[in-house]
Amino acid sequence: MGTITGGWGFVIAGYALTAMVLVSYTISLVIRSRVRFPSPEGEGGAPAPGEGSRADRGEW
Amino acid sequence: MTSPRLSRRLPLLFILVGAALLLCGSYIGLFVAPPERMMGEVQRLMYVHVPTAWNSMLALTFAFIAALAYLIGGAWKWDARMEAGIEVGVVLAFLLCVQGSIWAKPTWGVWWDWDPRLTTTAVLLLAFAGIIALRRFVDDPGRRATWSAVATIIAFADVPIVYFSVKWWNSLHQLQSTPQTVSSAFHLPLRMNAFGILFLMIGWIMLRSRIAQARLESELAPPPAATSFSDNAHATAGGHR
Repeated sequence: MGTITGGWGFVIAGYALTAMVLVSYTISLVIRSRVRFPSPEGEGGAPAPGEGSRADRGEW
Repeated sequence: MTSPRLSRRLPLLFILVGAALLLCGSYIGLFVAPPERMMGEVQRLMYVHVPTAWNSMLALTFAFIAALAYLIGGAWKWDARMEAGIEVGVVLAFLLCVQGSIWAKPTWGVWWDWDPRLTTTAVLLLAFAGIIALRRFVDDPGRRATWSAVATIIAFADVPIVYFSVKWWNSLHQLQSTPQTVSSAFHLPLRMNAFGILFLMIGWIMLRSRIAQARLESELAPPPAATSFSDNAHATAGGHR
C-alpha cells in the first residue's frame, strides 16, 4: 500500500487556514475589547482616566 | 495579588506565549517530524487538527462549568465567562471541521461524510452556534443568562458523545489520538501545538469575558448602594430568574 502523494497542497491549505482564523479572531477580540460601551450611569462615553470599568481594570 | 496593569495585559501575554509555541510546534511538525508511513505528508495536518479538537472541547467544557456556576451562584461574571467559552469553543469547532475536511479529501476521497464523529461534531457546532444566536435575540440580561446557561448544559451532553463516537460506532474517523496511539516521533510537535492553542484559548477567553462583562455593566444600571457587580447577580437581576 503506497502513501498518498501530493499531500503538501492540502497541508499548506490546512495550516494557512488555521493561521488565518487564529490571527483574525485574535485581532477581532483586541479591537472589540477596545470598544467603549455607554457607562452604567447613563452619561455614555469613556470613563474618566483611572476610573475605567471593571473590564478595563483587567477584572474578568 | 496581581497589579491592574499586569492583569490587563495577561490575556495578551497568554496569546503571545501560545503563538510562539504554535509557531515552534508547527515548524517541527512541518519540517522536522518524519512523514507518516501510510498517509505521507498529509498526516502533518494532525499537528493542528488534534490540538484544535482538544481545545474546542476544553473551551466548551469551561462554558459548561460557567453555566453551572451561574445557575448555582448567580454571579454575572459566570455569565460573561460562559459567553466567552461558547464563542471560543465555536470558533475552534468551526476550524476543526474545516481542517478535518481538508484532511478527509486526500485520505477518504471526500470532503465530508456523515460518519458518527463528523456528524456529532457538526451537531455540537450548530448547537453552540445556536446558543450564540439565542443570546443575540434576548435583550433581558437575566433571562438571556438563565436560558443560555440551561441550553449550554443541554448542548454539552454532545461533548462526551463526540469524544466516544469513534469507540461506540463504526467510524471512518480514526480512534482518539493520544501518546499511546501516536508514534513517539510525533509527540513533540503535537504537544507543543496543543499547549500553544491552549494558551491562545485561555487568552481569548479572558479577553472575550472582559468584552461580555463590559457590555453587561452597560446593560445593568446599578441600583442605589448596589452590591458588588460580580458577586451578587440576584441583587441586580431584579427577579428575572
